[in-house]
Amino acid sequence: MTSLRLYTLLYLAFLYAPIVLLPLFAFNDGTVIAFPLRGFTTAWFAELAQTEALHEAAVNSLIIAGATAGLATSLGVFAARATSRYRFPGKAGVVGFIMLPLVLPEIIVALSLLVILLQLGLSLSIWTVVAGHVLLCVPFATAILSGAFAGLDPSLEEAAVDLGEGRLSSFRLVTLPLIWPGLIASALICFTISLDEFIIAFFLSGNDPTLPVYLWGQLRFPGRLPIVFALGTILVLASIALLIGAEVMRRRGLRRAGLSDRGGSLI
Amino acid sequence: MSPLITLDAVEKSFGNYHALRGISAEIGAGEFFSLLGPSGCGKTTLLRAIAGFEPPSSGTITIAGRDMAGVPPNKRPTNMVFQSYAIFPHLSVAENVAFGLRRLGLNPDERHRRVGEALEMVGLGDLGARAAHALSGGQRQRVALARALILKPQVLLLDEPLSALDKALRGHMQAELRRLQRQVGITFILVTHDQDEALSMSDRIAVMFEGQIAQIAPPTELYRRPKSRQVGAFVGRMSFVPARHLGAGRCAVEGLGEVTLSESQAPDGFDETGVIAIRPEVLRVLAPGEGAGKGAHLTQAQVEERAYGGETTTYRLRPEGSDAVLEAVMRNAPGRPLHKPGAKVQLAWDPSAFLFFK
Repeated sequence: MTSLRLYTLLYLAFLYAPIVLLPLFAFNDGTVIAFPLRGFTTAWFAELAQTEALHEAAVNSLIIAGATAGLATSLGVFAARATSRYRFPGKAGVVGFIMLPLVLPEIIVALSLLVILLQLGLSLSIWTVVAGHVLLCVPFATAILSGAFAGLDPSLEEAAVDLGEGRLSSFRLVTLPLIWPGLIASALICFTISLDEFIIAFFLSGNDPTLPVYLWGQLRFPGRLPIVFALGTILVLASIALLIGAEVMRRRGLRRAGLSDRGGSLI
Repeated sequence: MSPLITLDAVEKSFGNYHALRGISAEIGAGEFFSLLGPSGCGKTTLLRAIAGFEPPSSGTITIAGRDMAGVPPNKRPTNMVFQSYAIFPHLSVAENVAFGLRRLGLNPDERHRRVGEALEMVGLGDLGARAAHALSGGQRQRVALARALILKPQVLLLDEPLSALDKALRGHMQAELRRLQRQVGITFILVTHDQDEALSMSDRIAVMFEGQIAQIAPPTELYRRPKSRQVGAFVGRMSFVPARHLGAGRCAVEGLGEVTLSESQAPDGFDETGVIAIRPEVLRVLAPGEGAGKGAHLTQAQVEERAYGGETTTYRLRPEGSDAVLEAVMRNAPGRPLHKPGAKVQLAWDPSAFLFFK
């Protein structure tokens, strides 16, 4: 038992220790990323605040991640509701098609999308990145939301219709509050996937780089490396805060509905 | 009394599967009507067709003189109690019950009054504030009833509402449902596979097999005069003994000898060979020295098996010199002896309650 515990600790340390290096060098007074540390400084964060191109990249990324989360989750709701509620011809094929981007190499998806967009004569922008990211995120959203729908009694919506509501208001009044935890989980996963996705963004972003694309560009200048670390530190803290916030909301939603935990959990 | 609901040649197919095959029936206002049948017989599909969830493939459903074709569930004068109760878990008891009132645009006082009334009616007067997920099975069912009845429908549809409850609670809720139906005076249509439930609660019962109605009758008639062997075997228990018809109602019954039956005792007519159907309470196992009473026939039989059931004992008996097996139920009155398997007993019976089926 103790050896198993030790193994678990070592395993987690191996996974997460490198992340500790981020804040370490972000506050290190020196451009060389190597030990020993030279001294404490917040200069890199100050410089971060003054880098205009980085702000643009950050804003691009947030817009893309937000739009992707919203769109992919909405599409996921349709797919998950249809697959968990109805039987229809070709269902297995349709589900397989939706899930396909999970197993396709991203570089293939990115290249094909680029070719198609150029053939269509569309210019590259953050919205072409959104399209690519939605494609990538819909399988995750569908999988998470299928869990939420699977635990839902189909009679609930029928009961609402029977009591006088229309199809749409039944969904809004009954189904939506009950799949809310799944919606949050799905939106959050899609947001994070989009936020740190590189390959599709690199191919499709044109002159509007996302954060990962901008960071990749900065790696060519060794002197800028500590700034990258400073940015990384902020991103890690933001991600953790986001995760905790979402999990708290999810659990509160579950408790309010008196439901047991039924998938959609991130932790 | 003109019927409130008229079903005319209602059919429903799911692909190649015919769930309903030509259902025709009339259900009166204020009637407690049960749809009884084994699982897969189409009874739930029929209920859902009346509710509007499964529009018929052909045929018409008329409620209160109005053809229901194309009328969605939320526009019908029906409300439903679902098998799972479908209580909204994120709402309180009062919010669940008030759900159907949203569309009526009542002022808060009026809404509050009606919710209180509905909860009172089902005996949940003080539970309005409770969260719906913190209810017991019986309470959930009462909430489902209050929620459906608050809209004052002309028809309440109940889909196996008691099957999820334990036995003691089920008996209690049967009486409760019956009382509620008399109180509100509207038509109840109950789907059940439990014949005791149907017999004890209904004004009339429709027995369904394979998407068709086999018989519609009041409980006593259904039990005493089933129209077919299938109905007789499904509703209550019945022994079937091979018999030959000798003409003019005279039948040679295996193990019991010759009996004479009237025309009305052969619902599907006499045939050369058939079976005699006997309800278990028609046969009496006599205690030693007990008289059979006037006009009763007597047969020697051997006890094959005995099932003691507290207030009654069920015997499986074989008349001497035959392979026929008969079932008899005797009340365990004080002082009445129990017969052991293998014992020889006197069987008293009266052929006027026998039925002949082809």
